[in-house]
Amino acid sequence: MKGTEIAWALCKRELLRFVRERNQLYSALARPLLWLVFLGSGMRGAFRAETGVSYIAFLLPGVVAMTILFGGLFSGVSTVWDRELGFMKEMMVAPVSRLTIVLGKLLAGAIVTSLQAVVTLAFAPLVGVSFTPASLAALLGLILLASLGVVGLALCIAARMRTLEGFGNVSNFVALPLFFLSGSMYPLEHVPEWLVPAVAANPITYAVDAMRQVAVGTDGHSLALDLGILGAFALLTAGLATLLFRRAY
Amino acid sequence: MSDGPAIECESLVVRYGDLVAVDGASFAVAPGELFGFLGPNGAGKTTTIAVMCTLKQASDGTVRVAGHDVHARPEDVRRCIGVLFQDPTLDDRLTGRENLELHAIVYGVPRGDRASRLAEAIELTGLGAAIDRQTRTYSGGMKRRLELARVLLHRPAVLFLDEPTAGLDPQTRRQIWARLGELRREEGLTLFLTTHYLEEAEQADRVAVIDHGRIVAAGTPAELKATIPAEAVTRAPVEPGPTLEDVFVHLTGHHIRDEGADAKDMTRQAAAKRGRG
Repeated sequence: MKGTEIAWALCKRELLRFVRERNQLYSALARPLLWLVFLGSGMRGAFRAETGVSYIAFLLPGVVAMTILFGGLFSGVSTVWDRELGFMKEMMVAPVSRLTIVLGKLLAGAIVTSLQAVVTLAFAPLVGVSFTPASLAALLGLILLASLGVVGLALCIAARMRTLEGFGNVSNFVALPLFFLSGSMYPLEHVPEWLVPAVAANPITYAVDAMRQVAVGTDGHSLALDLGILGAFALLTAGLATLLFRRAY
Repeated sequence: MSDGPAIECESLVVRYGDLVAVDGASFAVAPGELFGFLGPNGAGKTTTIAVMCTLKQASDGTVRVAGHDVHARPEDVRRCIGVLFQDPTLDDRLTGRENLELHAIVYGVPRGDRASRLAEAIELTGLGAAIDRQTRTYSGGMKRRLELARVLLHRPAVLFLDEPTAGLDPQTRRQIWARLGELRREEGLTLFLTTHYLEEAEQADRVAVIDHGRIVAAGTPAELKATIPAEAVTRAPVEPGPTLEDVFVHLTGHHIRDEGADAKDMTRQAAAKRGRG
């Protein structure tokens, strides 16, 4: 199909840019490692909750989710940059549906983001977490699904942003509550009552929950609920981004 | 394309907040015509192009391109047009060749025609081995030649050229116009041109002079020149007759580069303010 070929060509173009921008490539791959090492060794002593696993093992899926959140939101920069380059105009006057343009960006962003999350997973044996082929496959699927949702959110933000500063401010403002209220760094059993609705409304909560269940076997929501929410999050943000891209040049 | 005009613009109004960038512009361009849009910076030229190529919504009025309403059927319009924007729109991390290949796919060049069209486009750029370098290493002229070859790849019926040769050396300018002339003769390409170079406007079939968002005159260069009194001719008398520059100064009361930056900044600022919301 024509739309598929175009979305794929646009995706390949973004990946080429990413690979050619060496600094971006290296820092994207190194960042999750820093989080895991520094946060894991620093927080270990403070961690007393009864989760049945070591803190660093508990933290691993959290860092994976966090990598997806920050890496995925950062991918929106490419859209702001396209506008700065003028390249966005060349896309916007092209005879392709806005959905195709969004899909190309979504796919590229999700691939890059998932790659960063997978780098984090590679350190699992060092922190005493091992996978079966089935759990690894499930994790990869979850990583991709959560990445699609976060990158969709990044595109919604980037669709109207004209400066990198503006995008940075807004995406940080969005990222921090999603991060702190997701249970990625600490268990959510003890959050105060008034924060519970915010935790429940945060899609990242479900990504962390599902990945933690699959990776280290903690208890949580039903996986069907996690998957349903993450799927809905991805569809919703992709749809909204497509609407916002109609005036995005 | 239908038998009607290639471009039809009726009472177009575009506002940015309180600023009226285009104030009731009406004109029609026939298929195959070279139509020149002449005016100082900030007069509303680029905004008018943005509406015609579906990037910006009109505040009022109707615009049809290749028979399609730009507001109701933007996708149909996009299938028929090519746009050479005032500022570069290349991907700076892709090579010249990669930029062309991407355009061919995105703009729907049939798969079977791609190889030959690409070869032809690369030939037209005259970039030689540089075609395989990332475009961030290109000079302004190289980028422009690449963009021109790119916009012709998908054989648009109507081509918008916003200051196509600004800042180019005379040789490149001549090359670009030679190729555009060929396409007009061979394929009936319609050209809508905004320019600062008055000798470029002189070769247009018809010219509209726009100032402060209003079209103050339209006609063939000869007709426009015939409308102005002899004392408005500002050059040394050795040169014969009035030029379009004389027409322009006579109609608008100022030279084409006057008040340029101010008006342009105003439009840009208003646009930026609006986009941030």
